[in-house]
Amino acid sequence: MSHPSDLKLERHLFDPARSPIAAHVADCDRCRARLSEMEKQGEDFRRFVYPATLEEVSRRRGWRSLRKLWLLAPAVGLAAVLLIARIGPTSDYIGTKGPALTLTAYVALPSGAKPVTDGETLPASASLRFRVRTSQGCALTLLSVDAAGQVSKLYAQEVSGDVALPGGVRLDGNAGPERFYAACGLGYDAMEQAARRVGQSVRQKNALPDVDGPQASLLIEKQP
Amino acid sequence: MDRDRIAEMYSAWGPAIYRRCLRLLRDQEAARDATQEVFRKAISSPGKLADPDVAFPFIYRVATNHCLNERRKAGRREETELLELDIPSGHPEFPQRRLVQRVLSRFDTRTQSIAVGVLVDGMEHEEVADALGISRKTVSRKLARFLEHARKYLERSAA
Repeated sequence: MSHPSDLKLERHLFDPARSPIAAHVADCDRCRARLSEMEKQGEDFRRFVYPATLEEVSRRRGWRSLRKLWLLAPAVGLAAVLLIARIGPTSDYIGTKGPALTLTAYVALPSGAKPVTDGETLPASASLRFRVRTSQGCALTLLSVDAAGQVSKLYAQEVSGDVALPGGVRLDGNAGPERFYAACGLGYDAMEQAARRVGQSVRQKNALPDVDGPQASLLIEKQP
Repeated sequence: MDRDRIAEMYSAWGPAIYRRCLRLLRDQEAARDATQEVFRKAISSPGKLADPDVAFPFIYRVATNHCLNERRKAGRREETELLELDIPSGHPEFPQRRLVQRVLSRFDTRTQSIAVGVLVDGMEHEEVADALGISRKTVSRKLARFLEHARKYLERSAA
């Protein structure tokens, strides 16, 4: 018995309703097992590969497109001199003080995107996007910890000011709590270690233990 | 192209690229690195990612070529962890598939892609031709040459 290739299975995964191999797949244990494996690999991409590599993928393209801008170097140099002369607030500056880091999530619903409140119940496979606001430049790491204590790295990138993080995160479909932790300047390894100490207490621990720098968190409850 | 658009396209096509790389490289770290490179190559032709009927064979072709090159480079560096393709031993064409395993790196990238498509992925000649953007006749001709050379290579090795 011949089976559809991975290429055909990819098309099937992309649009099962229009798949010419749907009837075969329905009756074929081997193909269903392969599809299940492919779905899991896709989920691994979304949870681990995508967040860890998005910045690199985006940045490299940016460098390439910026290569042609070297001709503007003299003008940039002059602008830098002028800016250096203006560093620091003016005498009429009024500063504001607030949390050093805030984290907001938006959930995509059929009715449109809406901000997520702390502790809100969401569909277990919902898609989220994140916005962070920092009072100064921040080497941001954003990760999540679920009810089983599993840590997922979501973003690691430099941010400054009010920033919508690129792309989105799709929840894993499993019911239970998941808390998102964002922190500045900690580095992923140290932050992951701190997150592992949270363990299964994600509902209670709204801050990562032993972290001195700015941090924020958001709890959601996933419902199938 | 702005970052949001890149992120959107990476989210859409990244899983298929990652799966293809994982299939050929059989190593999560190597597949992760390869996925970035393949996506960067793919996104330099954004028009080809607009239509799924065009995008899937395009991604297959770019990912296959890239990963086979990575395997060849790893072979040169004697990094044997990438050398074993995922070829099920219970498959009826197993002896022929083992030829692929042993001699793949001795051929050019296009011939490797054809051999992998037919003998490892189990694709029909026509599907391989469509995916690689070549004629069915070219697939048959290069595959026949590959198998002939592979058999000679094995005979020499056995002698």
